[in-house]
Amino acid sequence: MAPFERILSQVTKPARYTGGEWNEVRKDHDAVEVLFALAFPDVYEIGMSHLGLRLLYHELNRRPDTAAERVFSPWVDMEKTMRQEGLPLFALESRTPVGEFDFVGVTLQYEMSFTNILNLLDLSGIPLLAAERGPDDPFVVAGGPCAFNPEPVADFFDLVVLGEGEEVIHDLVQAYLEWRGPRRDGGRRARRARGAGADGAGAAKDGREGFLLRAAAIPGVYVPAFYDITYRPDGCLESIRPNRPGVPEVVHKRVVRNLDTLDYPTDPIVPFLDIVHDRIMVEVFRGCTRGCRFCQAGVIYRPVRERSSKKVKGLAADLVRKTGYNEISLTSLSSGDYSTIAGTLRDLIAEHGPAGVGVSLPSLRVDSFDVALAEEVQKVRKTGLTFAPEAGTQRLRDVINKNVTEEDLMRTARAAFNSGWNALKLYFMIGLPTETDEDVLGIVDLAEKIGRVYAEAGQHRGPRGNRRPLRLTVSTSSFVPKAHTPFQWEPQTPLEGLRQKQDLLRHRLPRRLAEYNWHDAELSFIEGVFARGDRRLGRALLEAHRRGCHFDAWSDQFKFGAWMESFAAAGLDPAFYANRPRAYDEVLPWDHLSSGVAREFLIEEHRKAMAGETTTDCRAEGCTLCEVCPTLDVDLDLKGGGDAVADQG
Amino acid sequence: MRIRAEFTKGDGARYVSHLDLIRTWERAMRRAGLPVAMSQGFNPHPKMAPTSSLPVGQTSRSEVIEVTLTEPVDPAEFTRRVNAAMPGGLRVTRAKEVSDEAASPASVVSGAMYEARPVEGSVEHAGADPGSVAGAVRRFLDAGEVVVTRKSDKGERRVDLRPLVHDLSFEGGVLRMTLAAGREGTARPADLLTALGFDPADWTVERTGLYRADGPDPTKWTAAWDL
Ligand code: SF4
Repeated sequence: MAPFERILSQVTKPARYTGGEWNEVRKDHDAVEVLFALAFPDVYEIGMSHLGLRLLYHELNRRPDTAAERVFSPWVDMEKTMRQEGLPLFALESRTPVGEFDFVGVTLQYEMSFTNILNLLDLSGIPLLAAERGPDDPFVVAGGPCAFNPEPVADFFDLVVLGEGEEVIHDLVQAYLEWRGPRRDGGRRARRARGAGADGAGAAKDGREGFLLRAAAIPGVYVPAFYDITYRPDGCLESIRPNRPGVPEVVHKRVVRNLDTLDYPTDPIVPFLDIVHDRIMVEVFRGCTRGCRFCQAGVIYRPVRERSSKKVKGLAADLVRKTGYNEISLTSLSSGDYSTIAGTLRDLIAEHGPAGVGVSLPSLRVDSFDVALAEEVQKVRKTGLTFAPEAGTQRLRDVINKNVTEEDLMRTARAAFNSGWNALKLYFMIGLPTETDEDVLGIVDLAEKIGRVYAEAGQHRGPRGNRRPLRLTVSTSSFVPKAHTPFQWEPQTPLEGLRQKQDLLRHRLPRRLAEYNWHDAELSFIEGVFARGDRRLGRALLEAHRRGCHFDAWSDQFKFGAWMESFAAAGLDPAFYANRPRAYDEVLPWDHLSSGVAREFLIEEHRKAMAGETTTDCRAEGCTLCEVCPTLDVDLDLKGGGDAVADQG
Repeated sequence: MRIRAEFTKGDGARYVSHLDLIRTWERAMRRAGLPVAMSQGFNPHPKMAPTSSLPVGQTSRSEVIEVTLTEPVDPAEFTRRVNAAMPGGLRVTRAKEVSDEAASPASVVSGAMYEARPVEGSVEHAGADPGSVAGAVRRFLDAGEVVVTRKSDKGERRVDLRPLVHDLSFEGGVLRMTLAAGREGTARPADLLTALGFDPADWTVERTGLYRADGPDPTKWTAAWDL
């Protein structure tokens, strides 16, 4: 094998593969009991931008008995060189091959990363199918949003963790230590003997299954191999049943009750490379109860739990000192909804602005935000303004429960233009349930109205007196029905229909008014297949992997033809998964996995959608009975109650 | 207060690009609590001036950077605090205050010295047995001109490398080169390795110093640190 330097000299951005960044944690493997690889199945710059990975890295490395290290997908050129040179995939910190770890935790962030997971295992020399792994192989664990329907990848994982990982990860490591017993000598040899029965420890007696049985007893842990799935002649599921005694019928997700008690990392890794989110991230809350009916995040992360403003400000100050970043981003699903947002922003800007450190909110959505607040943020740093009305008509916005009116939009647009903004982005979805051409053309109508508001707002002069035209961007993504949402029973609009809607907008949205961007409909279709897929789709994934599908979310790598061949080779019809309406009484592939939100609530929300009725946000107007709080014994936790005075404490 | 610092870029930072290196310095200064002055104007940026960029993949034993601070700091204290805030692979070796009148290394440096070693195990690729390397070096030095093609965004350009190579020797398995680096032209080690008939991927290159030529005599020069 060629030396590492020679390999790296042949690839783009070699710093993706070297580690060594500020705040990286390197531990002596002989001084720890457990090696945990945290893998993100995309390139370094994307994986490193993911907050969840950083939180787990911190939680695990906090343990004196565990070393957690990072693994990312090598980019296409690096993969090629690694395969040529026979270099197995390695963790950045110690360059230890991934196959030598006790655990490999993989983030399931989006469906279109599934082929990268197979590739990652393959490059690590770990058998792809969990059933084929032996005593020398790591336990491969999944987590992240797609873990709420992991069935298409269920055969490739030993374990799946539902919900927030900070607490359950310790339970998992603890169970592992109890099962394996303490390491008998220093180093790798003992680890290699895990489960092999070499030293008479717990590991010896019951093998891999012994650990999986222990893990299955931990709340929030799902062991796919312990469930049998049966199918009806029409292809739908007939039943999902545990096949071992003591394994739960339904696995509920884990939630952290009070964010203020979590040990939030204030010494995150600061990459050399310019990553996607290259700034301080302070998570201000989890969950979102706006109740958009297409949104999976709005269900699976419930209920809303805030971090107190005091805590947020303390963390931010610590992070500024320990990272040297010059930007603090307050992250969450919709940070404008943070109950103490105004006071928190004001205080942060006052504290850090003088030192040249700015504050930003990701994807600043003005529909949930007032412009005065936006201006506060913009004082320090200019970012674009984004509206996400999601649908072009009020009727359709009511169907999806996007509680934003046209008047709201025009009022915020006018205020933004009056304060000097001239660039605006509008996000919409096409292919939403009940959508007609009239709804699609409503997008054009909204864009035109915004154009008129801009003209009325008068003075559009730049710093040098030059006239500044409106820069309006309209982007559409294609609706993908997701598991655990009120629209999980809805068919996805077939490819042809999505293309027609895109064409309609292309022809009818005046080019002088707005730039139009749209997502690849073929990609949305494949995503739609896997979002509500079942275990049989694992075969299609294997076929796609064999056909070289990887980095599917990267449009230059996505091979639609190869995907369609893969479904055919697996004997599966993708339209069966994506485009078929499902009945309320159909057994869904994820029925044994619970977000805590009641199925009855989702059905009720679906019925209301069809009737065009809206549902309020439980933060503002009282519980709407989604049941997550009583089911998981957790509470809606607003630290400020919307009153800026409350965050003085 | 204007501070000149010499630092090393070691193995741990070998693949850090020039832009990433500057960002790393900016962040390290903030972590160290050393207030860097900001430039005036529409788009203010910290007043930090690295002397010369170092390509991805190269290490250095002596880089020079100048930083303007808003308040005075003892240079030894500067060195200590920056080093406590730098990731592995980057290390300040010394620092000193320079007067506002002193020449700025970034604008007057004209040359750089390098050492190249064959990557371990790649001798057979590099053809780097002492005889052939020494022969290639001799042929290069004897040549009147050595024209190479440089690719850039603007297309290809042909340059005579010979006058940009001030010194070249191979001794004890180390290829030492002294190359033009500044306004009058720049020769990159990779260009020279290619011109010698090698694959640059087979060599690790380390910069050992930056200097300003004091005149036409190639033996007379001033190190960037001493300017
Ligand atoms: S149970 Fe009620 S309060 Fe809790 S998240 Fe659901 S709707 Fe909100």
